[in-house]
Amino acid sequence: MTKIKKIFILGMFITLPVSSYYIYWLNNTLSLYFQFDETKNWIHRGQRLYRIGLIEHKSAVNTVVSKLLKSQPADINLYSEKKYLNKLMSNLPKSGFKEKKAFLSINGEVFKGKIKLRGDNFYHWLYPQKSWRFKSSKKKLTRGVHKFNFIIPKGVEILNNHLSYKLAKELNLLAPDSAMITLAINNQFNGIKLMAEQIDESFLRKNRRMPNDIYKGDNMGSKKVVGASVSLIHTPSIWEKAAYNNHYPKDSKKPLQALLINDDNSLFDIDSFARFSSFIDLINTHHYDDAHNWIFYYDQYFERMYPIVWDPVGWWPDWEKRSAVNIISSGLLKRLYMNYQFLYKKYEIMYEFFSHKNEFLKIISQEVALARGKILEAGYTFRMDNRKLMASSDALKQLNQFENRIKKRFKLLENYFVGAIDSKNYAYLIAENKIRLSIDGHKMVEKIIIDSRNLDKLQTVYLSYKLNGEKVREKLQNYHVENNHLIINQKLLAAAKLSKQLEFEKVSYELELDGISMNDIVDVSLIFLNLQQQTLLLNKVDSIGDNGLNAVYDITNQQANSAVEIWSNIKRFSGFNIINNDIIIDPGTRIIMDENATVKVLGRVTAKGTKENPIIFEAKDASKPWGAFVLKDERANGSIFRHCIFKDGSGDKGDLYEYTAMLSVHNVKALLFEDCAFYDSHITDDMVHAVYSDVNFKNTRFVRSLADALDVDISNLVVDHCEFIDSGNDAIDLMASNAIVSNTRFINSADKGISIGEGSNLLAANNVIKGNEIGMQSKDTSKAYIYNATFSDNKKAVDAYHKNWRYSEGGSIFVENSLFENNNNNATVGKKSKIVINNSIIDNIDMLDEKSIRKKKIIISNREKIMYHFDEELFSNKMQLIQKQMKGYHE
Amino acid sequence: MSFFSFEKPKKTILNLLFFTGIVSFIISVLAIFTFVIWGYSPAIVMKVDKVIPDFYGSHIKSLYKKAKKSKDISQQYERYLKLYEALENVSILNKYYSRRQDSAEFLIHYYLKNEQVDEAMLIAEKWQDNYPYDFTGKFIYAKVLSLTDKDKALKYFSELYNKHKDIHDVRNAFVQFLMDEKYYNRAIQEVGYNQKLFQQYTSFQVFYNDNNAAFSQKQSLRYKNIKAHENNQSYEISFSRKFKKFKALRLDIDKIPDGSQVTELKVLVNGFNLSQSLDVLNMHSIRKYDKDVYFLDGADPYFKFALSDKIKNISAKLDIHFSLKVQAHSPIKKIIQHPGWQLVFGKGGIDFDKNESYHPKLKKMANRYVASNDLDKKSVKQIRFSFPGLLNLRVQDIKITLNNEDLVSKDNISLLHDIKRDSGQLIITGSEPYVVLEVMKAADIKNISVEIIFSEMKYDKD
Repeated sequence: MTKIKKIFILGMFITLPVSSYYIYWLNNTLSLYFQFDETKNWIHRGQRLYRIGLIEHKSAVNTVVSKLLKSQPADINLYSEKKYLNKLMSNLPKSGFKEKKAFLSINGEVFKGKIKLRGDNFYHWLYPQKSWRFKSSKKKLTRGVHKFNFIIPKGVEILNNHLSYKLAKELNLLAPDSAMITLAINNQFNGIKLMAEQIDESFLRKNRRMPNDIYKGDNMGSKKVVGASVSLIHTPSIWEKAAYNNHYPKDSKKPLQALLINDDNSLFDIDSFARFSSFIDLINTHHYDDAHNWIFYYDQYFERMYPIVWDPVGWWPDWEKRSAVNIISSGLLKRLYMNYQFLYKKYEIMYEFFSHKNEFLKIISQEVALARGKILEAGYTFRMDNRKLMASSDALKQLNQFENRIKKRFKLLENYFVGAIDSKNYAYLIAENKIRLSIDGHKMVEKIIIDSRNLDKLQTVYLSYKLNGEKVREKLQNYHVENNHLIINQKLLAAAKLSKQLEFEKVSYELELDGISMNDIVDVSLIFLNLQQQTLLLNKVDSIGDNGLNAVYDITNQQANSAVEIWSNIKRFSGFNIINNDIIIDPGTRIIMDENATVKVLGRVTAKGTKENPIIFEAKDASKPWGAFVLKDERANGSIFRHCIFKDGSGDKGDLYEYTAMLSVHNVKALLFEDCAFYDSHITDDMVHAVYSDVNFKNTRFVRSLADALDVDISNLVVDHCEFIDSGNDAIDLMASNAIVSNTRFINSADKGISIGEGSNLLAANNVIKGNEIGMQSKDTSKAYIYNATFSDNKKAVDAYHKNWRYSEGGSIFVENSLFENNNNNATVGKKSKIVINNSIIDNIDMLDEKSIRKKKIIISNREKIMYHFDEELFSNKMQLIQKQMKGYHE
Repeated sequence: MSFFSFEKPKKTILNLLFFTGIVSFIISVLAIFTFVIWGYSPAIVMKVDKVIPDFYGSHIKSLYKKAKKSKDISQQYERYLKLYEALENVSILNKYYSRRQDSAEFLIHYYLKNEQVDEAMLIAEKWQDNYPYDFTGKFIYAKVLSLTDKDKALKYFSELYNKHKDIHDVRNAFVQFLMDEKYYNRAIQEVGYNQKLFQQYTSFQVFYNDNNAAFSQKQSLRYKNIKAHENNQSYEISFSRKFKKFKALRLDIDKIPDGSQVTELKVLVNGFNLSQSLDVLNMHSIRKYDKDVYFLDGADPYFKFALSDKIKNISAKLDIHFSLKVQAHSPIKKIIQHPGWQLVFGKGGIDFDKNESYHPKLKKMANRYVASNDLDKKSVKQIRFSFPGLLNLRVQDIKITLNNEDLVSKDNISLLHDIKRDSGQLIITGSEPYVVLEVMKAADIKNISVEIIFSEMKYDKD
């Protein structure tokens, strides 16, 4: 053998691995390169080959390392059989979206489920590092989440979306939980990903919102409509539903149609959209446009639409140059900016944020530090869209710039919204018995203060202004006199002018003070909502132009200026009635309702009947049930009903609302029913329904409900000394609620005495539960602590099980110092659930499921200690309800 | 010396190893060369990138080019078929998806022309099944379906329409489909366009020629998403400019389908102590239908306005205000503008003098179609009211008001021709339908107003 031969043969120890790697790399690089010729993308030739080569090199190194050496560790590992992965990749992009069996491993826990690719755009699926979605099995949810996305981070800064989600949550917006993680597929390192939960019904439940419609609007990528001209923000039919209210057809989009086609601006939840708009400004995004990226949640109980934050791409470098404030990137946002109540709210939110901005700056620092760790761990990052590979040192520099960019943006907005005022923008004059104010600039006036003599003679305050060329005069109610000063709580802004962004122009407002001579006015000041809380003593000038407002509305909040109406003797209703005012109902008043008549009250109700002269809500004809008496929203807070009788009602349902009970309480706090009675509900599910509310019932009877007597969703409930008799279904049905039930009797319910479901908490003491199908039942992570109860003559006294797959566990019940007698079955337990019966008297121990006792799902004990474990505020200091010396409650 | 021999296995193995060694050496050299370039001279890689041919794109483009330039229809079919086969299963994210659309559309039309409905259906079905966001495929599928099963086609299109009523093109296509299938009354019923849908696309561009040789994009203003008033039909546009030399003015109406109607067009120029309204000088891709009624008819429709001597070449600040109504194109204009609508006036007896006729220009008002005009007809005793010969078209009511006071209606019919009465409706049964109406007292007609209410039917063929 010649020397040369030897060299070549021995040289193969080096040349063979190098050439094998080269062939592998070249094959991958070229096949990906040519795939770009087939797919819509914006990586032009000239840029493409170089970038793909680098990306494939990274990927190939990962493959070789994971096969030959110890694989690079990752926070999360997805496992799927090779054959499934091959199928997923067989005909991209189509094949990638068909789910395949997989497992997810996180912190040593393994979850069964399915994986697929996610994202339409080429950068999600074409490169070796892809975006994934994992759907967990219904049997075992991953931390209460059903679907997780693992998305290639947008931007070299990698935090654009993650930090935006964090900020959204700080602003109390609905936004997905997210984290920056490293991902491996079958132990092969796949890079840094944004882990974000999918927006679906599980997301709503996690956020304590009722399962209602979620609409997703995207007219991009594979969902882009072709062959017809459409505008996303005017075309509800091309929106998809990610969750739906099962009381309506699955494909019904009535609320979205009302918003987009009928321009029903009252459907916007102003508070949430003002938060959303502040969020858009704070993160400087233009990603919510007329073509894509909208997610709305319609809450049938609030009767309002809410934005859900998704893919906001915060602080994107390209948008930094625009320096826009009050970003109007879509016609939907433009509609909001025409509403002055929205603008005022936005200023309040900006004030709130900038008053505590350091808290968020701390979060930024923490997240940036974590991101640094991830970049160093991975050793590289990619810019998502054009996949420019960056070494970790460059990526860290980008991250620093990103942090500075956020701070710079915050500074700009802080100055704009809540910075120091320019006194030249404000002046006043007195003319024709009016105070004319001139307002310019972009700071918000929070209050007007008028120093005047003889304020005791003040009768009425009016605010007038020119709107669309016409004079508007409105009576103000929100003012008071303090030390010779009239303080008017009326927010004011200059004239909003809408184009691509919002600008402000000079406007004049006039104040009329009936009863006050203008000669008595000493001076006028304005208090601003800014960080310095500036008060400006206005210059009196000789002339102020008559500048008006155009194409805007709701300058004053007339809805808040409600009057009081008094109901007495007989009050009749038919059809659907909305009452904006507060109501006082005199003792002995009869509210007589026609068939299907509904009264929706948005004000506070004070209905104080007496034992002798109760207030009665009744049907005109008992055989023709009326609809619903509805209390809704904050202004109804603190309503009181004493000695009131409700009978023969049902409920009401429209395209945009549903009242499931004859008394329906939606979003009302501190509501009290005392010495009241509810009889004979008809047609609809519930007799009384409370949602998003805090309700207190004392000495109240619920008799012969058609189905549930008291249905409580996502609320706080206190029931004391009440009676539930002959309920057609459950006496009390709790969903995601906290309840204290004491000294109450549950007699002959066709189903449960108390149903504790979907993450509810119950503290029950001194109750009698008799003759029910099931005494108490706990499900789906709910907990019930039951003390001094008497369970007698029930088919089943207590029961716990796992019903809804969206909850990770079943229910649990802790019964102490109680009495079980004559029940057909004392306790039964299903999957993932448990019952503890402590220190109680059980008349027949055989009436317990022996298998469950053996499996310790039912525990019978005799410990002395009595305690409950709830963190919610409602349950604090309630130990006095539990009397150790009692065992069962006897009248 | 042989390289490969079973008799000398050791030698053969060494030879093979040697050969592999050479190959892997060469590849390694290439690899090192490549990696060095990648690492130190990315500019070279970028240059190479630019010269690598786009095999896929060239292939598709060439197929398409050939298909377009075929010498005859059968060659064109063969070539489009090849193009279709190359793109048959691509996703909507494919760069050449529009070529898939073109080829599928050609093939379907080709098959239909050759009465190969099954082949057309195969392609149409695949199009509509696999591309749920492509409405062209849906419309074509409905058309093909209508050739095999009209009821199924109507059901399919009705479902599509009910789901996507908010898409103007879907409404338009459905009404056109109803018209094609002769469901006239249903078409009239559904044509109640939501003008708001239409408004989404309405945009305008004003060209002002200020001391220029011709109109240019530089001297123009675009108006998109402007809010319409009055039932979403009426638009107003204003702008001010300090003109150096005001030479010409033009209004372009963009992105609106042919057949859409423009009415009440007014242009007002204010400034320099004058206030003048401008008349239309000429039009492009616009057809005048009636006084102050125009129809868009072709690409790039615009109005040019006549500038009076006072305004022309003026150097001053002017405020220019346009107002106009734009109504969506209506596929039912085949019914409404049908020349068959005709009133012939008679003085009694059998003969009607066709010279004494009047063609009403019907316009939609709420649920009615009306036309009114000044006339000069003497001693009219009878009116022969002719209808379009559209079989099965149903008219619920007709009302003719003479001189703003005398009413002639269905009750005054003395003769029906190619028309039958059924439950109070008039149903067209032949090609020359008309009714003769008796005028109670002979009148000289100065003014006439015609009102037609079409029957509301679910299926007007029932």
